[in-house]
Formats: sequence, structure tokens, C-alpha cells
Amino acid sequence: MKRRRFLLSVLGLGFAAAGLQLKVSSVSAASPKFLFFVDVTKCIGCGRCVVACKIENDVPMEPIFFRTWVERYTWLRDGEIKVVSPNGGFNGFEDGSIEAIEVEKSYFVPKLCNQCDEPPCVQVCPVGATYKTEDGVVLVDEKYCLGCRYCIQACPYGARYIYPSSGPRKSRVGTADKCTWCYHRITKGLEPACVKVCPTGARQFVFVSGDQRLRRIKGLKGLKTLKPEMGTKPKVLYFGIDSEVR
Amino acid sequence: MLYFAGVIIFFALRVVLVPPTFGEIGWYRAESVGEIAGLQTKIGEEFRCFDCHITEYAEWSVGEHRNVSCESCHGLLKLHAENPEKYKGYDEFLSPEAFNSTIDFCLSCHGESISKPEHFPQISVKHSKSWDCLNCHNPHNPVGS
Repeated sequence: MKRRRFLLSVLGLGFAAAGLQLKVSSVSAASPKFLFFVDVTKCIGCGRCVVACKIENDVPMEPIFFRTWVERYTWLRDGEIKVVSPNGGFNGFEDGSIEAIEVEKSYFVPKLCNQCDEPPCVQVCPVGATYKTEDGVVLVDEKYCLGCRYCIQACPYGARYIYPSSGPRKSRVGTADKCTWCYHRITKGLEPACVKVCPTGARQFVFVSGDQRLRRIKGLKGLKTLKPEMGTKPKVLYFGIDSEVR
Repeated sequence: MLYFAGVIIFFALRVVLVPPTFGEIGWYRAESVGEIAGLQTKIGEEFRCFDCHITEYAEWSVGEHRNVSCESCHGLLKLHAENPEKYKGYDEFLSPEAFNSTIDFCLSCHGESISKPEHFPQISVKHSKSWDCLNCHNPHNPVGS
């Protein structure tokens, strides 16, 4: 009986310590420093963002690996919605067989990691290789990731992929990879690569403290996030999208 | 006795297996944040193009393309900005040289599409025929010239 009581008390103390540490770590998470704003009413689907992202972040050139990509949503008059993203928009878009007369409306939607405030990918990572930094960006530790793919399953936005052996960055092979909002740039005060090359200002990056644009963006009517019902609290804000865009 | 040995082995193994900075900030390797933040940038960091390209600045700064960054049309060019004599200002993917012709390059933004915003200037191939866009337009100030 004594032995059982001893074991139980050790177990109890262990759980209490773990709980305390969890509480401390969740409290220490500061408010986000960055926001990403996408204005689909300005996007022309040129794909420069996709190209620049691939180059800046050593993303493999094969057409199935993307940290950011562009989708085209087309509402046809018969009610059908077509969503296409040939090569992620890398080479731009062609109208193809769709006739203008059949189209109700159509626009391009740039996609990227939403850097969720409640990231499901972080919750499911069994080893702590995916985590949210104190400034609110979700990163992947390539030295610690096992490549178990749980996070890929968990992400509702399809923002992650497993880095292939054909990629230029060998230390990342076999690990989960995704958009970091160019963490190596934004921490130096530079804009992400996709924002830098966007010719129309459809992508805007906001440094929350002291950014004049924040007030204007927050004041826009019809500002949306993707899949808000998932409870992930995304930090990419979209302007001009319909509820069908997911 | 066995329990104490187990506890000691657990903590000894923990010291060996858990990375040094794991748990310093949260449930991750704190060192990793610095590693990712310290990655090299490839797209130009500073806006130094106009230290040399003064004529282009004069045209661009008053033209319709004044809100388009140099990198949008000319590519990354970090190496070129650092050492213009050794590295030419051509980018493999984003510069006009990456396209078959100037028309293809201009149309990569200005081609007609049902999905583009209505207010965005779109040019049909009929307009340009086989002409080079540059015959009539200065790309740094396309409407004003």
C-alpha cells in the first residue's frame, strides 16, 4: 500500500509540474507582431509571388511543392464553381476553354500559411518540432522534425508538404515544410519575398506596431479569414472573397 | 531501490536525449528560432538600384509603374546589387530574359483575363499584333512615353 501511495504521489507531482509549465508557456505567448493582408480585388494572377517564394525559400521547383500558391475561383452562370491552380500559378493563368459569357464572376486567391493563433499543426506535433514563436509565427524545426506527417493531416489549409530529396536544401529533406512569412526577412524588418515582388499590392505585410496601414485595413468592411469555423484564428486577412473560398 | 535507480536513469537519459535549449521558451528547441531567423535572404534587401540606374529612376518615379518594385520585373538581383560588375542584372525566372519575347513578358501581367480586376489595364494580342511593346512604350513609364 505504501508503495502504491508513493507511486501515485510521484505521478501526481509530475502531472502538476507539467501542467504548471504548460500554463506558463501559454501565458508567455505575446500578442502577434505581424499580420498578412490579401486584397483579391487587386490580384492579377501573374504568379510572381509563387516564383519569388520558391527562390527565396529553397522550395523545390516541381509543380507539387509550394509554400504559397494562387488559385482561381470561377463562378459559372449555371451555379458551378471551378477552382484551378495550374502549377500553383507559377506560370500565371490562361483563360482556356471558359468563355466570358458563361462566367458570373471570377478572381484569383493567393494562398499561404495562415500562421493561426490556435494552430492545429502545433497541437499534433509529437516532438515539439512545429511551434508558435513568441511573435506569433508558426515555424518548423528542421533538425527536430521526424517527418511523421501529422501536421500535414492537421492543417485545414493544406499549407504543408514533406520536403523531397530533390530539393536544394539537403538539411530539410524528409521534414515538414511550409510558409514562414519569410521569418528570416521579417525579423530583419524586410517584407516577405512574395510581398516584395507583388506588382499590384494584392499582398501586404503589416508590422503591427506603428504601421499606418493597420487602421485602414482593420476598418475595411468584408474582411474575412479562411475557414473561420475551424477555430484556428488565422492571421491572414482576406478582402473581397466570398464564403465559398476556403 | 529499483525505483530510485529508474528515476536516476530517466533523468540521465533525459539530459542526453533532450536538446539543451528545449523548453527554454516553450515546448520546442529555442535555438531553432534563431536558426530560421538567421537564414540568408536572396531577394534584394535594400533599395539600392537607383544608386546606379538614375535615368530609370527618373522615368519610373513619375510613371504608372512607380508602385511596382524593381524586383517584380527584374527579379531578385541581390548578387547584382552587391557586385554589378561580376553579376549581370538578369534573373533566371522573373526578368524579361526569362520569357520568349517582350510581348510574352508584358502579357504575363497585362494579358486579358476574365479573372483580373476590371480596372487593371489588359491588352489583347490583337492590339500588339507582332509589334514589340517597347516600340511604343517605355516600361518604366509606359503611359507617359
